[in-house]
Amino acid sequence: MSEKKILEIKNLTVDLRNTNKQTQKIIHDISFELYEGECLGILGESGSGKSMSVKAILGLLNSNFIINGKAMFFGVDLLSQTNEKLRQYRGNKITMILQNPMTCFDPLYTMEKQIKETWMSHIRLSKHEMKDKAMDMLARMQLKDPEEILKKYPHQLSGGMLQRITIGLALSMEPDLIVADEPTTAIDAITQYEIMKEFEEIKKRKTAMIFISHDLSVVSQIADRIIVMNQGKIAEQGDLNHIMLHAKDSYTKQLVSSKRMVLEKYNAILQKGYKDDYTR
Amino acid sequence: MITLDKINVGFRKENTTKLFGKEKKQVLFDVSMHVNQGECIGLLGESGSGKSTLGRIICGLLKPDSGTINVTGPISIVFQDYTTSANPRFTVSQIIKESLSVRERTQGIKIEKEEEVQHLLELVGLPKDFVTRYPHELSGGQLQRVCIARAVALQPKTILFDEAISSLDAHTQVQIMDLLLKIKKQFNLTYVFITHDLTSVTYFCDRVLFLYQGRVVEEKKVTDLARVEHDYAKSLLYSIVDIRSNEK
Amino acid sequence: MWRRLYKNKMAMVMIGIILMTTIIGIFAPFFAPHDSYKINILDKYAPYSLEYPLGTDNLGRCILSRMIYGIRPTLFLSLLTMIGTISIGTVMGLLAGYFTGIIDEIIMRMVDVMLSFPSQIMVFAVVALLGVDVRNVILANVFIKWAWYARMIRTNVMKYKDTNYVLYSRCIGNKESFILFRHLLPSISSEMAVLATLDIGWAILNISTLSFLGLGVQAPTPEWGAMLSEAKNVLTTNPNQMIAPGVAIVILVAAFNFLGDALRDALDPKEKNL
Repeated sequence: MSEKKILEIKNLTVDLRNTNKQTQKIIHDISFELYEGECLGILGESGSGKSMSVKAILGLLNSNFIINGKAMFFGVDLLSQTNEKLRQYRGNKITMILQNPMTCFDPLYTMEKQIKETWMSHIRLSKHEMKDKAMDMLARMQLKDPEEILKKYPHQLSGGMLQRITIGLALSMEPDLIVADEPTTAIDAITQYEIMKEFEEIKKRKTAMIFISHDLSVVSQIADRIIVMNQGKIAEQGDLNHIMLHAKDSYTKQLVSSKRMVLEKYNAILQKGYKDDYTR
Repeated sequence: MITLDKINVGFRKENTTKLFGKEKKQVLFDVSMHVNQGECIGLLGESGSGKSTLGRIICGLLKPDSGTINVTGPISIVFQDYTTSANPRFTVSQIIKESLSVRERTQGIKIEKEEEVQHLLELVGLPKDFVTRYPHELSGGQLQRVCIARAVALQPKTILFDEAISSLDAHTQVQIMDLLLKIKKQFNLTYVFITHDLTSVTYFCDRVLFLYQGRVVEEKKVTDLARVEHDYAKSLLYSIVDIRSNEK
Repeated sequence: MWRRLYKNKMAMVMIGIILMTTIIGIFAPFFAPHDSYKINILDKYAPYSLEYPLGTDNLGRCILSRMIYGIRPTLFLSLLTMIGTISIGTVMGLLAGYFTGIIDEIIMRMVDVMLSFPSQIMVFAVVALLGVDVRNVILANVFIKWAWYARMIRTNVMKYKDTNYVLYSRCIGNKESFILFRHLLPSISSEMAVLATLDIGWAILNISTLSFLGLGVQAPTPEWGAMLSEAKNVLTTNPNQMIAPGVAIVILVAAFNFLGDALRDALDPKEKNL
């Protein structure tokens, strides 16, 4: 792994302004960095501020939130950019994959139109080339019958298929950074497994990625380094080994042990035998 | 305890093509199951598999088109979405008292309600001064505990859990499951546990029914889970994402 | 909820205006400087003065006194209308929404029929049929408006009927009355309060309109709409007579509308956590 930092977050804090003008701290002074080609997992439960911190960096929060700190992306502070500039960043250099693929698409248009529209503003291609590119992308995401899919509307496709299309779209921009916010939460178990496979493929391409999830096992599959967040603070950070074995923070320990207990029983029943050595 | 025989359920389609007559979309096909006293049975299925419909059939909120249901003793229920499962205008004490007053009526006895509420809160591991709180002042896990207290207050023979822990955080899930196991032992209860999460079934249940597209495709004791035959059950079994092995 | 309403300045000002109007209306004899019926033809069209703060009308009656006495029919008749509408609408809406099936069908078809009449013409028809009288106007208003409420309440009931706490009550076999009065009614009441407040404005306007047209409150009873109607005859010669009742109606209706908006903010359960 190269030592080049592509994203560096310094002392990020986010406050929410209430209706009665009080402020509520949502993110307390967090700092982390992301190296080139690295996959950073952010693990935390609902309300821990994991998505909020990333949204703050990408300028996706409304004016009720007060954001302080620095977010250096290739040496440019994202937090001091104008909205217009940030919009160009998102899409070209940073792409996002969101939790619920069903709501990512406009239900009134066919997939072909939506894919083309996404590209229109970023890539210069003729109509015909675009269609070829779309077919190519769908085929690469291992979707059967791409021609057919392009003609369909979002509701005619399953959650797993749509999520694959969003992943495909995100990759097609050839971004420097992919942010995946709970990409497997809204889809069922079997599809989740397949989507995880896709993410492992992305990882092989050495694109830097921030992977947000509440599920320790999902994060463990993909992340090189894990940040555990609790109540707006970073509770623990380090590689998987560190989190599993040497965590000092009590919250992280609890998280690890409860997940392990459930999985242990599962593996014992399946007589798979516990295949790793965390139990001992 | 609970016997279901050849249950068929269909809902009227929303966009019917015919002006008159009913077009139905069948949700459950010939579902039969039997739950024994003191057992914990898991109903496993994905969204749209008809598992929630089956839950509503069991607790009598929905009548099947055909088939017979036989449930002995009172049944209680704990829902998935804890944010809507308690009336936001009720205090914790009022929430639990609703069950108590129903019990008073059905059993024809008088209950010291205040005392009983305190007792139930203690059982589910909540401090006693929570009685005056409102649902929005509680965390998800706490509120789900209140819902469990409410369900137990009825002194049911069976409790149905409709994805009761799915929306909770991972380690709260384990705490709640441990609590439920304790209560089950104490009151000799029967549990029906509806979920989409295979790992919590293996942690918690004795027997599991795989529901796939409205049919029961596989029924196995949890200890025999490795020997499932149906393709769906198999693929589900192998799709569990484990914690990545430590590279040596 | 009350605390949040209390914090809302707009709501408090509006409640203040409405309360003040109500109190002045109830204790009209204390506040009115003159007898509202006393005709003093010599003093007609008097300008604003200490004796007659808002001047006198075409018959020399004190406009201020008539305004103060006029609160009673204007405000209280519209309140009566709303109480009538809401109680019928709530009962029908609850029944239709909760029991569904055949009851729902019957009530909703009735509602459909009611809503397909143009409302003003319906009022005229009822008044023409039963005779020109305030009571008939109220009856007519309730008659056309309940259907609208029944539909709103039914939709709300159906929304809350599928919430888990209602399902729980049904599952454990709690009494229907408990579900209806402890769960459903309080749940819909906040939204109803907002609607009702907004609609009192409508009722005031409607009664005033009908009085203006000579179908509602009859002369010489002081009522703001009827006063406007009298004033229109002398609009060119003495425009002063029109100002007081006109402005008063606008202020009172606006106060109710603003209060409705403020209530909507205060009662919105989504903001409860803040």
